Amino acid sequence: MLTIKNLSAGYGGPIIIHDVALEVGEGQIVTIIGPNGAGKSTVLRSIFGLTQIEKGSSIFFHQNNLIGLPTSETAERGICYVPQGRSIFPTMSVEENLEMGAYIRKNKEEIRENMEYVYEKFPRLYERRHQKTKTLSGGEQQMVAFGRALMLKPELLLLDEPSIGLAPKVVADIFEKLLEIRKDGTAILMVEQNAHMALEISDVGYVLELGRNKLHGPGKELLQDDRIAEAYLGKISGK
Amino acid sequence: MATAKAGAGGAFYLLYKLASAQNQQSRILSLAARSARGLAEFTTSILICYNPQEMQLELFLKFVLNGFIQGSLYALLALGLSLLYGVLRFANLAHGEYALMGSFAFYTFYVLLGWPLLPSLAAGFGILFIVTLLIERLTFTPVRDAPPLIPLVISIALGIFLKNLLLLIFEPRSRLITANSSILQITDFISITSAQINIAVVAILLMIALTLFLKRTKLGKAIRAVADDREAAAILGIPIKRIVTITFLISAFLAGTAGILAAFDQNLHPNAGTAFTVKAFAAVILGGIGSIPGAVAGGYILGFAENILISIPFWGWYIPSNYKDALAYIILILVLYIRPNGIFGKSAEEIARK
Repeated sequence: MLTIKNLSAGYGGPIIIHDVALEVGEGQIVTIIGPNGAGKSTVLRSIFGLTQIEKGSSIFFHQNNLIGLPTSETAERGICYVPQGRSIFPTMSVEENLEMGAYIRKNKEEIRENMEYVYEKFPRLYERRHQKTKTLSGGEQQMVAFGRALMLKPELLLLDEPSIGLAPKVVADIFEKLLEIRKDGTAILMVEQNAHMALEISDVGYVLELGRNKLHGPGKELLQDDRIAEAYLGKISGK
Repeated sequence: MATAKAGAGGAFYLLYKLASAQNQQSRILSLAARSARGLAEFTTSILICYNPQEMQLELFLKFVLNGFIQGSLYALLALGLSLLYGVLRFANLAHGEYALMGSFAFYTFYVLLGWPLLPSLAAGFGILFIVTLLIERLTFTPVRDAPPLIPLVISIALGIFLKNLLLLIFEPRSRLITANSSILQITDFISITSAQINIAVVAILLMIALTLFLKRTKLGKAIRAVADDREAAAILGIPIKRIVTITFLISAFLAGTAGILAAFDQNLHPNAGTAFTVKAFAAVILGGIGSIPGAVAGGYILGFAENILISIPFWGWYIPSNYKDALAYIILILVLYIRPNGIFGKSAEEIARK
């Protein structure tokens, strides 16, 4: 569904990622892991036109080329992106955040149904729907970010470090929600520091190092791979 | 004593005149001119302001009323400035010139061409909007990805340009739209003109309308979303460019309305834009930059402070009314000393979190 080939990109200065290739199939959960500065986020940002992409790169979503598409038109193709640090609208209420998630949708009835779906998924958000999101806890804010992205009923959800700064218990909840979201028909491409947990639920994992593909394979297999275990998993698999 | 006064005043006045002749060429001279004028006014006022009489309650009430009207005008100006700052993260220092463009465009149709009120308003705002769009396209759009300092500097240049354009078209003299301004006598001492009532009523209605617009409508919410986090808004498909343009237009509309309302009440010189900008800016800072209720509160605090403080006797002394502006800035400095982020401003932590 999403096919990235020969992707080289940066932010106007040095090129950060080189010839990255990556594929996400229908309904898959795909995780990109790698050390800090490997260019994981840059891959996601490139999909949304937030980087300077070099010639020869290609990013296709179904049959559509995404390169050159303005950021604000990418969502219309059915992709949603939750950047790192959640970037919710802090002075707006939970409900207003969700409404903004559905900005490009027209059908009010559908939007209402979708909002009910999000509230069902995250009952906590319903309780706090009139609260400004800056008053929420970190975990709740992450739920708002997810909920807001789901308001578009995306085919593909991009998540940048969904577990960052959250308590382990909350992280477990969040990953459980990701499985549910996938079951409802949304594919997920995420970047995650918490490599172990992420690979557990991933169909495919990609390892990026110094801006290049290092290896990739099914999540469970990568978990068994000694090289990965040493580098990113703190030798958990070797125990 | 009178001779001393005249002597001191006269000397400084001459100096001021001399300096202001060079005004166009040199900013430093202009500063010198202003200091000279300030000194001249200070000397004169010290000599005349001692007033041992008891303050009358009526006088006080009159100034409260003046403060309210002046505050409404400041609040209206501050709203547009604050809204634009929220979305674009730069203070448009040509904001006062936008107000004047509104009033002079309206003046052209209403007074010079003698059109009726409503068509004049429509035509005046039409011209203001066209110029606003043109300015945005030519100056702000090309630097939309630059750091906010760049558009800030551009707005300073824009202010100077627009001021001179107005001077060129309308000549350096004051205009007042006096047409059918009736006076409502409340007591012997307190009166209010219909122009002043209009200022207060229209300003309050617009504040309510703007608040409802931002809270209730999809477009209004999108403007707030862009102000909160531009990148996140773009990711959701909110068309940033269009939102920025709409914000420019709303800001120009609020400024233009303030300008037109003011033109019915006070003399407007093509030079008056800077004063508008500075007052609006002070109100915005006072209330907390980027905050809409803050802009309104800041505007009224400024209006009241200017007017009420000069109506209260301090041990039999009144602060001379030409110190209105100075008072406003003293209040500003005091407030910022206690609350550096303004009354409704975000705390440093909140800003850091973003």
